[in-house]
Amino acid sequence: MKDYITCLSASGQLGYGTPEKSFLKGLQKKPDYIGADMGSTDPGPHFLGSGNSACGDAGIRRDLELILAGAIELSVPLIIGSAGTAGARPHVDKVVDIVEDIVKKNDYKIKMAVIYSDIKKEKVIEMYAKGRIRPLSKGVPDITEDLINSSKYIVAQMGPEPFIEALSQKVDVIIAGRSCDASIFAAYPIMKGYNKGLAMHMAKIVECASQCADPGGRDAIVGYLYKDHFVIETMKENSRCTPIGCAAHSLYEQPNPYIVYEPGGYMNLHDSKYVSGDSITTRISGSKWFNENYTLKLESAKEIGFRAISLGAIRDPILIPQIDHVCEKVKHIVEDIMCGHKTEEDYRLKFRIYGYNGVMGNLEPDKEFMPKEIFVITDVVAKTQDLAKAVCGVAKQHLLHYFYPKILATGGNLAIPFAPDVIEVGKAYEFALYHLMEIDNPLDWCRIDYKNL
Amino acid sequence: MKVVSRKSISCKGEIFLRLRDIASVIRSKNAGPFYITVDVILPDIEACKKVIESQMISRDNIARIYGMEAGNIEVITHEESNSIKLSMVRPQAAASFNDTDIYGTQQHIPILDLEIPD
Repeated sequence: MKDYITCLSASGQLGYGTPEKSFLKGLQKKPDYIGADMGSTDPGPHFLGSGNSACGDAGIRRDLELILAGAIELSVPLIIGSAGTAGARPHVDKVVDIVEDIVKKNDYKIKMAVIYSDIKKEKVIEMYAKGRIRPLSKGVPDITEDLINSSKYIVAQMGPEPFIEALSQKVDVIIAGRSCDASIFAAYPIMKGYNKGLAMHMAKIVECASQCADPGGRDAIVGYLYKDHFVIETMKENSRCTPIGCAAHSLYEQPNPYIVYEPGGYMNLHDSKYVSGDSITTRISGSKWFNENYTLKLESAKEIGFRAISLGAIRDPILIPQIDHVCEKVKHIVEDIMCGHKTEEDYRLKFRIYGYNGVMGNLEPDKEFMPKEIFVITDVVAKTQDLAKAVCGVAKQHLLHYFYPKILATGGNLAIPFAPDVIEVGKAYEFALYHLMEIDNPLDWCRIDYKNL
Repeated sequence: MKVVSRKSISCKGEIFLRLRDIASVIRSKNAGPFYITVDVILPDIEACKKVIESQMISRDNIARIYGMEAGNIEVITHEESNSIKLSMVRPQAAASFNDTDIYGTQQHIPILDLEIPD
């Protein structure tokens, strides 16, 4: 009898294009289940705030068609977490709609579990009042009722438990809302009684697909979990998983490479050993799991107004050295003109000057460099879309025609690449909740619907 | 184009190498929207120890370079991967109005040219 579990990770960002060849190679390894992560907070708060997905529907459909066909061919569960980028209800529902359409068109017969991770504001306020919510780390805003109420959607990253519950109902497909990345891939082996420290560590590596490989990539990756170790093998051609690469992956996107907090406890990787399996795989052992009070990570994003931007470039060598000064002057002109709108809530204006310090701001180490051309984004967030457009237009126009010392080019200061030169971007968001909520039973905090398609 | 020399020599005759010429990976990335983490991966343990001993990636020096309080920075050595990790509180949350780098991928720039005694 087989004494290990084979996990095929199809993608760390489903919807952006899962490489087909390496996924098909992964199917040949006869996985016991297929997992895919679809979301993150990395693309910013817009998606969680608005309910939109980062990937286009056509991209999501293309990837789902590929991996659903693979899972159905092998008759193994397909587990998708953080559906639709941010994993709130509208994201999950969109992915479910696309899956249902694919199932119908291909005459598949499947049982699907849909797991929602949305938490009602009233519940969060109640838990806050009980003192059971705290900021995840430094830098996170203090929690208040206003902060809780400021966001349309609040999600909680689910641990492995809801996945295990759904898998125990013998489903073919799980579409889950916001999930802790590792839970997506660790649930199946934990359910089968495998060591949780090893299962979580393996999951943590494979959730980024072949990122840990050398050379790395977006290609599928396979983990083989045994009783006391696991083996990682990339499906990418001419690539390998080295002990150093796998060890270094525990650094990636984590503040601490040895202690990794997850729902319900933490992984301790101090005693993890990474050795070459053969020339292309790595064998890992010694990773441990410790239970702690169960916490869920809450996430939300609040509206901060509406954005308008204007794009323009400067090539004039007389203006470029004066750009800081000119932008300050233009800001004052805008303040005078828009003097009916005085506070930060009314509007905020920023010139982002690329080629100069647009990326690093005050941290730019090379302050001497004089660029040949610079690119200016006039960035405005205001309380209404119209005000954002108005302020952005005033700022752009006065930058275009600012009369600076030693000016020769009295025709204008900006090369504007396209019209309209003021672009209305829509609602702007900031992250709000990024807090830990202490709970008793993780299954009380999600909702699982079952569908026979 | 300005060409930066790979080695510099102090008045006492000591030879320095730039961190970017020693390391195999220098990367930054969000660790959630409120933290940034910078990984410096060296090709072998000797190089890793050389960088640690230089004190250039000490908490205080990083605090000075990034203009933040030392209390908001952690420096962790990960010998399994010949790496040094810096984790710091983001000066502004990812994608907030003053942010310039939503994924946090370009925040390693200030340490590229740190001078490490050879």
